[in-house]
Amino acid sequence: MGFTFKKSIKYLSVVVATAVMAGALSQAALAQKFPSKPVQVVVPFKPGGGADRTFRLFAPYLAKELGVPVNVTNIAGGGGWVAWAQMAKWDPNKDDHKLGVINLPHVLSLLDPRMKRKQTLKSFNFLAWHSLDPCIWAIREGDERFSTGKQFIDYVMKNPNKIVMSTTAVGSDDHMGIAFAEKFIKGFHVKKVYANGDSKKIQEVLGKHTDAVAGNVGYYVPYFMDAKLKPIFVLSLERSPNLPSVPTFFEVTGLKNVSYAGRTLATAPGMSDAKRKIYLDAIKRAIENPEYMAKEAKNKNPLLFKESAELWKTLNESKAMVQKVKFWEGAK
Amino acid sequence: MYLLDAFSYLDNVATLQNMLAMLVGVTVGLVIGAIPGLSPPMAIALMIPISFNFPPATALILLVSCFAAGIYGGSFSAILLRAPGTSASAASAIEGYEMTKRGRAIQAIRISTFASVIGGLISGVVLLLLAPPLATISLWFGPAEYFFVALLGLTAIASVAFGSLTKGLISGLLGLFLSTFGIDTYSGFPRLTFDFVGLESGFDIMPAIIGLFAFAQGLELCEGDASGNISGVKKLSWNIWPKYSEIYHVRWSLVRGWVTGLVMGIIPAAGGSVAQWIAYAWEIRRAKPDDKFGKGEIKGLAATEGSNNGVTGTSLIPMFVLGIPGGISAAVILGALMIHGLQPGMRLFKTSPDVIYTIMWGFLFANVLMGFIAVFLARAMAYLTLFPRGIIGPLIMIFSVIGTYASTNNIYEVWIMLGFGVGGYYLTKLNFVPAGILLGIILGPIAENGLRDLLTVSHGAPISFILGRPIALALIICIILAIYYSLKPKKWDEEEDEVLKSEK
Repeated sequence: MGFTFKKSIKYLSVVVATAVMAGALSQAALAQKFPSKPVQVVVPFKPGGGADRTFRLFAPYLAKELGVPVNVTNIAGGGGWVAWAQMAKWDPNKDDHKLGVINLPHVLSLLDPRMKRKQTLKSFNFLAWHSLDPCIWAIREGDERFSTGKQFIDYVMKNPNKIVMSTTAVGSDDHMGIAFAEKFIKGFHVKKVYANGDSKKIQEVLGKHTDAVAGNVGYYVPYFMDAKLKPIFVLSLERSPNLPSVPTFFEVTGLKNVSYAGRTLATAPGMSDAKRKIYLDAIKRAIENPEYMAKEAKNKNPLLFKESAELWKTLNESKAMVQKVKFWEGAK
Repeated sequence: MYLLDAFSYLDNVATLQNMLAMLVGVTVGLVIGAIPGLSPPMAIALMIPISFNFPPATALILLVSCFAAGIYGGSFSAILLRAPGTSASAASAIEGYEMTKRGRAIQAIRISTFASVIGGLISGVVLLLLAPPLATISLWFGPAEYFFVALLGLTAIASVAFGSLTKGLISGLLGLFLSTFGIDTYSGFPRLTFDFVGLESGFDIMPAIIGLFAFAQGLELCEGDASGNISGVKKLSWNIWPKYSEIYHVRWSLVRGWVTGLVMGIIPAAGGSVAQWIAYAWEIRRAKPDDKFGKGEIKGLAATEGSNNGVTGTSLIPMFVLGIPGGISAAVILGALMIHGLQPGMRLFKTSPDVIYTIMWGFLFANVLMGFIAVFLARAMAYLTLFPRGIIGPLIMIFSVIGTYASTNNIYEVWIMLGFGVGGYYLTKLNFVPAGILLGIILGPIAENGLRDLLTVSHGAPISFILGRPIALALIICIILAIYYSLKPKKWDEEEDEVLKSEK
């Protein structure tokens, strides 16, 4: 045997030294170029949902701008909080190749005193607003009891707790809109059936198991085009360009019931301004890429880019709304 | 009407591009499906960006091929290693692995391939010809029906307990209890998490399956003689073509499996992971005196394998026609449809019939292709059963950890999987029933939400509400029959008892 223990130690030390040097070199390279390796976009829900779909669409365009591959990673659970709890603790050096998706108003369940969350909005390093899809209420096409928002509200007032609405879980944007109506319209009381996603809700209302559904414009437009469901309100102050003939909740009732599914991108708290700027510029350019915009138009996801002061203004408005509705009060 | 439409698009599918898409989809699906933890939805999601480069029909053929093959691929590891690759193949691990242990791995793969390919084909034909009318049926399923479907599924616990009914029921209750952990949609508040963020996502199905079956299996292989192998034979027969007599022997099991799969597929959110258990329990209840359920009964395997692929085609029906995806895989495929500018719904059949029928034909062809590729892959994989247990056991454990982390990106889920693994190992030693725990975890949320939704939509008067719902009533009758047949003393038992008595 020519290969002795001593010799192998020698070889081993050469290998280790090479590896260390290679590591040092790559460290040096990193200082010059950022990002230096694939970037992870963390989606806090399972594959198949709206957020997952949007960011899988977005990833190749962001990759083009950043010059490195961008991968979507799903960390699901706890209504988003398994991922968000991690994002609040990301290290600005170790986790600098991660971007996190934070959904509004869902993340504001941190205001729910029952949750005893340690995080506040300031715990996250929000980079940019990415998209905003207003809430909508819809009924079945051809329902004899009501065909407009006004008629629907009148019917509910005359028959309190007789109408059943399908909505996403307590604390979601869909539930927030209903909680607002119940809190600020005297005598407006509906029963609610909760779901974790839109497919269950659509099945319930189409199958006449429930009477109305609370969802988002983007997701529901195809069902309106198919003449299966009929939109009665948009929960925003202005009408949706996708549904110009549908009135807002404000127009019909005079109440500012504003609710939407918002998606933002965040990075590790405390990240250096230089790195932050690289991400922010890349996100901005990717969102404004006409090819990506055309794809999201097909996907019916309304894009909306906002940064710094404007971004925080919308975040704080969202927070004020949740504090006003206090959705947890109605939940058992 | 649909018939003619459907056939006029047959030639669209036969392009080189579509065939290549099928080949890639099937191969990726089989491989990812076979690895515990890497599931078909993940494979499909990963292929969406690739699919952008193709025209819509080709892109969707790629994805549906991957879906069908993924469900089937899960069976390889279930049968050969008792490490189910997908949640839809967990039931196959029971009889399939028992067959492998008795040196009948190739026979098990043969039957599994036959049941899956033909099941997928029948399901595909139903999808092609009957999608619009059947979609209406899926809308009949509301809170009451879901509640009773879940109860019907839970009656399977009595069957898979194989005699130790008390321990089976305890296992089922444990599973139901575990299913209550995590965020509650009715209050938006996490239950039983003790302020620990790792428990907020509750106990998901995937880590439970990997732990209870795969990891526990890895542990078991590590005990005893490390040099012996799983199959107990030195050479495997390579006869992958099923014999007529074999098929004839299990013909009714296959039919029952396929029917269960086709029907369950139409019900959104029930799908393959429930269908297999209902089909399996149905088989056990119809057992003949010389059937050996729980000890490698080929009839049980034929039924579970027939049902999980019988689901695949029909589960796409509510997605295509109503835009209601029946499961995570279908949801990912729906997303791909939208991204390619195809809005799901009845309109799709009018505006883009060429695309939709080409996809459906593609699904059919993919099932045939799946059979051929599976033969090669299964042969290669079957060699694993000839490896020493001391190598295979640790390998399964390593893959369980990697698979769980790869699919959830969450280290807590790995701990949960390990918990299920170690717990499952000891519970099996004590004759408790891992399948019962799994059934509780799968069906608990469906039953709980179904019941709560039922109480809401019936305005607190569920009984009079149910009386007006024929499907719910039919399900109640099925449940009563299932319980009756599970508890009824079997005839041959009595005969045996009499023989014993007369001998005394």
